[in-house]
Amino acid sequence: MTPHIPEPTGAEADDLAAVVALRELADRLEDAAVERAMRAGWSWSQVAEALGVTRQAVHKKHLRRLESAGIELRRRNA
Amino acid sequence: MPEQLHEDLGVSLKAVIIRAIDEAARRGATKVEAEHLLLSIAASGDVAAGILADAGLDYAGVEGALRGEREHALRSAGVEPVAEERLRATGNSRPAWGASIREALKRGNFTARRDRSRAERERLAIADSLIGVLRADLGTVPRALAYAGVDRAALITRLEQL
Repeated sequence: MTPHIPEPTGAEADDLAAVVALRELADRLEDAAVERAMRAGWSWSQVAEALGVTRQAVHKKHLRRLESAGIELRRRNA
Repeated sequence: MPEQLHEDLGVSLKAVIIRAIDEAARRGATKVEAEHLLLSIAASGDVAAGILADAGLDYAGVEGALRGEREHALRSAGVEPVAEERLRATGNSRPAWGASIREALKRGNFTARRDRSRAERERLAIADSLIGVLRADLGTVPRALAYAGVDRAALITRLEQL
């Protein structure tokens, strides 16, 4: 029996590719949305609460990127 | 480079891979994937880029094919593409290596040219890495190429004959 090679654009492959595309979209949307909120003066705690994650998680994920973007981060909650 | 990706990369391939990191970072990707290597190869001016261009895959052609794949994948989940300006963000300057670029370099054609001189292998290193990218049967790159109407097998054959 020859091994079955699925079509890269078949129905199952479409479903799996949608997962990849949605993950990528969510990641990019998160980066953009967090950056926009922080530029608008939101604190880490507020962004974390809005995202439904801990402040530590959002801080760890975005601090270096936002620092390199030159955004003035609110020290009180940094 | 963040960590060892593949042993014994030649100078020219190394430059292409470093550019692939830039492609990923510029696109806000969290990982450097095979599609970023494909973009970088298309922009390299190497003999491999010429072969891609002959198949309609110059840099803009690859970009268009990848965009088309993502739009198709999102639509299959009922999601309309989001406008680029809403996704604009400062990029992560240190994306990690993704599974697909590791796999592409593993599947590269490097060992098939063992009998060639070092200079020859160096000259064909980018083409051999492109063969690795094209050998993936599933995932973003084969989907993008299928939607763009590119004959992947024919491209591989042409590159192998170099």
